[in-house]
Amino acid sequence: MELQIDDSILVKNYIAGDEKALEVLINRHNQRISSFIYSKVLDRDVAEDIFQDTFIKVIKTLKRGSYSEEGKFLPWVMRIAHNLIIDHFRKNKRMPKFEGSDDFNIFSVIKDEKLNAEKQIIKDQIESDLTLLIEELPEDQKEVLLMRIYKDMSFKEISENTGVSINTALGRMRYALINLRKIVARNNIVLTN
Amino acid sequence: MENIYSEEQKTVKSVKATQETIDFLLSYSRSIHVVDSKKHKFEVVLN
Repeated sequence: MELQIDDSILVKNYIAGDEKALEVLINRHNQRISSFIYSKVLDRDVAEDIFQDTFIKVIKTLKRGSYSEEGKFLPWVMRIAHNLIIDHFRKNKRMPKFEGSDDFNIFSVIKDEKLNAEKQIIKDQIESDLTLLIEELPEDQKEVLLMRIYKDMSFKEISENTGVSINTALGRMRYALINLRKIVARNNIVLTN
Repeated sequence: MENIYSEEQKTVKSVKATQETIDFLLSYSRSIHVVDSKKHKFEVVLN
C-alpha cells in the first residue's frame, strides 16, 4: 500500500525548496482542477491555459511565502482557478469573438476592398504607362479622351468646351481608343492587372 | 426505479492538463526565484 503524503506537508517541502513536491501536487490534483475548469469554459485549449495560469499563481504565491495554510491546498487552488475563469469570461465579454461555422464565414461577406501592396504597385505602373501612351495621341483625340476619362465629362460638355459637335467628339474618342490599342500592340505593351 | 427528470443527462467530461503543460510549470518553478530586498520582493526568472 502506497503511503500518500499530505498536501500540507508537500506544500511545506516545496516552500523549503523541494521541487519534486510540486510535481506530486500537480499530478495529484491535475484531473480534478482541469475537469473543474473545463466544465466551466468547455474548451480544451482555454482550460489548459487557465490551468497553467492557475499554477503560475500558485508557484508565485508559494515562492513569495505569501501562502497561509488556513484552509486546504486544493480548495485554495480551486478558488484561484475560479477567479481566472471569471476573468476569462469578463475579458471575452469586453472583446466578443465571432467565429464562423462551416456553413457561414463572415469573411465571405466582409472583405477588405483595398488592393494589396503588390496589386497597388501593378495598378500604379499601368496608370503611369497609360499616361505615357496617351501623350502619343494626336492633340484633338488626347483632349477628348482626357475630358471623358479623367474629368468624367459628358460628350455634351466636351462638345461645348471644345467647340465641336457631339458626333465629332464621339468620333475623336473612338479614334483615340483605336490608336491607343494600336500603340499597345505595336510596342508589345501588356496592360493587365 | 428513480424517475429521471432531466431530458439530457449532464455529464462532466474528465480532462487532464497535458504533460507539456506540467513540464512547463515544473521548469517555470525551477527557474523562478524570489529576491527579498528591504520592503520589496522581486521575482527573478532565470533561464
